[in-house]
Amino acid sequence: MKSAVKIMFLSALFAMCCLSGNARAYEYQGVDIRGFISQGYLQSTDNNFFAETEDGTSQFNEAGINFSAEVSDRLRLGVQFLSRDLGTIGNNEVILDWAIADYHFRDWLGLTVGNMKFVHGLYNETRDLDMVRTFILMPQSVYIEAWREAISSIQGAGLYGDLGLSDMGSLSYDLQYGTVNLDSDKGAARLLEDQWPFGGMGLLVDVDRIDVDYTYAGSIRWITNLEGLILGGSTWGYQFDAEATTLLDTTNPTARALMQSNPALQALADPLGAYGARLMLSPSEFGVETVSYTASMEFMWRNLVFAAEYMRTTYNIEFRNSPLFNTLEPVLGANGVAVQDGTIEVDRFSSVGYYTSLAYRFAPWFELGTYYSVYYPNEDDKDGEERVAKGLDDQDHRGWLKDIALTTRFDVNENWIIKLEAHKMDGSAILLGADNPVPEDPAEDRYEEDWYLFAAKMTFHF
Amino acid sequence: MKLRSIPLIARIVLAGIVFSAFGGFIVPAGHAASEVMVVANDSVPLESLSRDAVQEIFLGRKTRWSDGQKITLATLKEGEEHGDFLRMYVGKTPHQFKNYWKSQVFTGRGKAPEAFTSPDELAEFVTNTPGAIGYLPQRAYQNQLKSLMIE
Repeated sequence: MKSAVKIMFLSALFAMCCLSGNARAYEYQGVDIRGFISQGYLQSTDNNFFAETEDGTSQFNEAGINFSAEVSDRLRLGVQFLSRDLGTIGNNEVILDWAIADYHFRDWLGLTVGNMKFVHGLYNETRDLDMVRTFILMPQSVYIEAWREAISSIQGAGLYGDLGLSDMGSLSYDLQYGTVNLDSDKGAARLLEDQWPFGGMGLLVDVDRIDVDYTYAGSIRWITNLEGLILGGSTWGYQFDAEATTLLDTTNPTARALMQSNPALQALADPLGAYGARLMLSPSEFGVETVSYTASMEFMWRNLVFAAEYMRTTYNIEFRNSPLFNTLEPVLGANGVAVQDGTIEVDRFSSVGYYTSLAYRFAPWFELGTYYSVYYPNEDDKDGEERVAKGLDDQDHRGWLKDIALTTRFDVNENWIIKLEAHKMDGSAILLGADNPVPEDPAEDRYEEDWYLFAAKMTFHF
Repeated sequence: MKLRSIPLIARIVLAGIVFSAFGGFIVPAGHAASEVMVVANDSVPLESLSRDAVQEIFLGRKTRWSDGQKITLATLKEGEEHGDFLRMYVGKTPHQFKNYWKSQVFTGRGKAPEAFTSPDELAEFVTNTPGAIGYLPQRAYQNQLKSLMIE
């Protein structure tokens, strides 16, 4: 069924490319039809970046087609289907990217219902649209690839509008509330499994199901009277519960101590440890509350675009498994983990990230861009030492990612774009363990601190 | 990490970036300014507009005239007048303007303005479309359409 949808989607996209003839937007009985196809290639010197990039991969693409129509002066309907792939993320499944009914009462008040693009920072809404930006990969400090599906679109309702401020410029605002369908085997769940705060003591989770209670997002942009300067602030929040298979890594000393403290598991600790096995325990539940704030600035002067953004995301996690945690309470307590009513509450922690970018268009066909991006998964552990001390990682550079990027963009014609991009990376935060397995040779490091990532991408749009 | 240890394909990408970066610096990008005037359909209930209002209108932030009539945008696809109008009144280059509207369209936020290859086509559209606003070369179209004074 899924492959049939994929074939229909690609056929429709291909047909539209052909029908549009001069490769401009196609219109049929008042319905505008537009689309895009991007195909990229990623290659890294070390570390796999969300795909098998060390060997070079072309599992890096996006394609979308949208239909929109103005039903009346104030009512607009639209829908976009999207397919994307990045290693094991996306796998070119066709999804409903957005589907909206938009009623524009006044310039200062509009109502959107349906599946809307999620507002976050300056560029989150357009992150699938390679043709509207300079860079291939967005700065990972603010637009983390693993979170992409979680903050791509929101199902619910939103208010938006533009307010004139006379001599002060104008304000644009967006308020959104609803929910998001999160898959247990996609980026956000994989990142959570990977960065699980109890990984250091061998207590792991494999997420089976996620239920998002609510999601909200808000954004405000001040289009100042200083030509080209936009200042913005945005926030989003999540509350979700998840069910997960609980696993004990029997090679981990703390996990082994946990097993040996329990009469039922005692006898299994040594034999399973010898095989490096993971012991499946009773299922756990956990609740995650996330709140994120972003401050943004964009300045356009002629062909120059300068942007800077800062994001801080706070996580509050509760881990619930009454029978297991009550049983293991003495050992957990000895390891500094407090159990209350079968629940472990993780100390609230925050990730921070920021970047500055500069792009200049030298000619209608050529643009050059660069950015410097910094990300810390835990702002209180910027040197990664605490992660190592807690046993979460054995390499401190998992505590940061600093990225210097250089991009060239060639607009071959109105519809075709080619980009080449190089990244010099320092650190290995955000990389997923699932993409970077433990090497067979114990002398080899799992992650490299200094590495390069190269990207090439070609996009067609109409 | 030594550069020599970088795979061949990645070195080609890197060489392409460096080569094109230098190539880009020697490409001229400027041109002389032309004179454009903002024109509107006779139904538009205004004789003048502020520069900020022109910007808000052409970026889709102001969508109705003071009498509630819907604003319909008309733009040129390319040319000197197109570039000059965008630079003077909208604060964007043609490329930035095009990208702005692509972002609106591909995120479900709006419908792109009507774009015309020739000023004649644009003039005809504005003349025949209630609530329409556009821009034209001043010399060739003076006194042919209702023009709005920009304050």
